[in-house]
Amino acid sequence: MFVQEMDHMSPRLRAFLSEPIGEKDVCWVDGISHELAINLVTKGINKAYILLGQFLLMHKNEAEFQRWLICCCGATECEAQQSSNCLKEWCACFL
Amino acid sequence: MTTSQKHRDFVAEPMGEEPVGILGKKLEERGFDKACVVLGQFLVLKKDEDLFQEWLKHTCGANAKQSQDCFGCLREGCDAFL
Repeated sequence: MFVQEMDHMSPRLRAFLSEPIGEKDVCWVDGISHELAINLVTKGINKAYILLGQFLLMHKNEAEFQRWLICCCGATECEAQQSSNCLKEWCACFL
Repeated sequence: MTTSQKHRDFVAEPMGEEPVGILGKKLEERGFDKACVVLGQFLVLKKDEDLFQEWLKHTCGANAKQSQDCFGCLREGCDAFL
């Protein structure tokens, strides 16, 4: 990824994209607020890779993923958009 | 433990959009047409060996060896790239 592209990213997104996902907690995903992270952990989604898995299961369809995150996990539109963008960018970098 | 050439090829590079040749048409029929979608299922099952193999057997009739091989492949791929 070019340096200029990363300059426009939030520090949180840049940090998330700077290395493999590993065993990072779900709160590391850009767009996942503290409250949303609690909701996700309650549903068993405690790791970022599980959220990534859900995104992949939805064929990386951002609209579908956002709908699921809003309806099933209580995300706001903004949180859903940021996190789907984060996962999309991660897939582009690492998959 | 020796691995097949297919296994080594699969693990050697990031998975992405390649077709699920290993698992066959049944997975495709159920919407799992790309390796990354099967990876998604693996991750959603928290990389649990028993759960994933059970899912694979149930979804496409994979036998024990096939499901073990698939699990092993995905686990190694994740260790290398995820």
